[in-house]
Amino acid sequence: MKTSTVLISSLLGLMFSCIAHAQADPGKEVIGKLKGSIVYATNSNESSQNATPVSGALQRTIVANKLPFATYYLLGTDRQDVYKGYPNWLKPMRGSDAMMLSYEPKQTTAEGIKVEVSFWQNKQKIFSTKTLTIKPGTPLIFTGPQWRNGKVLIVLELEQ
Amino acid sequence: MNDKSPEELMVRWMDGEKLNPEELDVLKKMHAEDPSWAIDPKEFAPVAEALHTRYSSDLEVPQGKLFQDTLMKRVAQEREHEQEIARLQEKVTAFPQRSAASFNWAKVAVGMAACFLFGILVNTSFFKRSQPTQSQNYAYSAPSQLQPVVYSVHDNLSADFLSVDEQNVIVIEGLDAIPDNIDLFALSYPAPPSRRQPIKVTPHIHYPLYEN
Amino acid sequence: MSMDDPSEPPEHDQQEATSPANDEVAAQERTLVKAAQNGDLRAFDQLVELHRGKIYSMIYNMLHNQADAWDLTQESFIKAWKALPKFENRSKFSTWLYRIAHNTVYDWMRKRKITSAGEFNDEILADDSIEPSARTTPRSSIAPDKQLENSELAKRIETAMEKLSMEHRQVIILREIDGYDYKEIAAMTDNTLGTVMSRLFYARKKLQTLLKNER
Repeated sequence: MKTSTVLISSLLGLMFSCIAHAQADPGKEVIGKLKGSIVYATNSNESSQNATPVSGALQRTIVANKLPFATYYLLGTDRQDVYKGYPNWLKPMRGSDAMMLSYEPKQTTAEGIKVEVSFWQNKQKIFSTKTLTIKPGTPLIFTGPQWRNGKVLIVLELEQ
Repeated sequence: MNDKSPEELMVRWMDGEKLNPEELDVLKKMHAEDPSWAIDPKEFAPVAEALHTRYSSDLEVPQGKLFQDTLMKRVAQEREHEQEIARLQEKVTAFPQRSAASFNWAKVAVGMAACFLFGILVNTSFFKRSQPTQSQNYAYSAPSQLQPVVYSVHDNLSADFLSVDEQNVIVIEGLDAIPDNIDLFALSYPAPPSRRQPIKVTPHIHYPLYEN
Repeated sequence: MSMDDPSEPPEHDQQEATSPANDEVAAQERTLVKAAQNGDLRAFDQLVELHRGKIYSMIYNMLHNQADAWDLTQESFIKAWKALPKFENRSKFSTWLYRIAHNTVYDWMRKRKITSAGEFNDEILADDSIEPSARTTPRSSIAPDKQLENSELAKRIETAMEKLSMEHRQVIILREIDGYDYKEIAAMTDNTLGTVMSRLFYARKKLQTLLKNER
């Protein structure tokens, strides 16, 4: 009787723990962190006391890809988790809607994460991408709209 | 005898259908038991109207021509693949018929050959799918951008990788410019305490848009 | 609501009876379908042009995402091409096509694994689908990337529709927007007539309640 009681209670405990685990939302698993940046690229001498030059992986990518501008300023950055099953948002321009990115992971690979990205301006979706792979250390760069004497670049970096 | 549920009767009545007396009795009874159960058609009418202001039943597919071209290319490839499979099957089944006794060894050889050919065909057609092919009956010109990188409602938008080898820089043309009077520097985050000199990069790619 | 005289149903436009013009269109479509079944790509091309708007609209109305709707519309037509030999002309081609599109969207939603407690959670951009601790959350009032009539009610309708389940949203779209009859909706969604009617009832009720509460 004692043995059977222990057995039954163990089985019940195991069953309930399986149920509890199954009810946990797998979509909320964090599989990485994305950093979205807005960069101003220009060939002019324009600057501002608020201007911050780019650095790190972004700087290396710009140099490696030989982008055709002389100067690159970081306008804004936002970091958010990448959830396995949910889209999320980046608002690099100090929380404003001037420029936003939404992204949705599709697959995790050995190289990085496959995502679909949408670019929004003032709550209007401007474009969406096909599934692209973002690798750690290799930012994804979009040349965005023109502004003053240069262009706005939209940059996504995977931080793991 | 009424075989419809009260919910079905309610929907039909809202949509203008004439119910028979027995069906009407069902609705009256439901309403008497729980007045909040029923849906007032007069209250729902503005909802139905508002649905039409927000949703459309016949939107135009963005980049319709590209959509059509891309789709028909895939359909043509699919058809060609089906035709090749059919040709292979014909070759296998068209082997001349002989007496069963003399075919024992031949059956084995034919089976192996068919499997070998099928494997070759599947592998080659798998890789061929990524290349444009022309069907015999239907000829069309593939669009310049066969696999769009980005989608947009703006027909004048175009996108391409800066380099085919390193597909991490995507050049997008056709976006509306941000007005000059908007100060993006003012919207940006404050500069970090230690300021570095901005990097200077010598342009290697000639961009006609950015001639000084 | 008054049910004192339910023998007088609310007035609605009568559905269009079969007309010679409709018959001719149906006959032309049958010809195209038959030709496409015999491998004529030009005929299939024309069928796609005839139906792509409606298929895209249905998918877009369900997903509110242009890129996804574009992709899934393509997938639906590819599947239709592959299944064309099995189409026996017992139902309307559009009904058959819609069913393929419906199944394509559902398969896609399942693969996205955006589910909750066994029911599909179709609130892709709603606040509660984003981790509460996230610093930024999209507002549900963010408009999709097309020009909309800027009416307050239209925005509220959109918010309310996003709170419906996928199944409820679909019957509302197919009935209220696309104007299909109940049997067609049952055929398109692979459900019984009773299920469609029940969903329609509860979807309308929920919409009415949501909009009443938001006033």
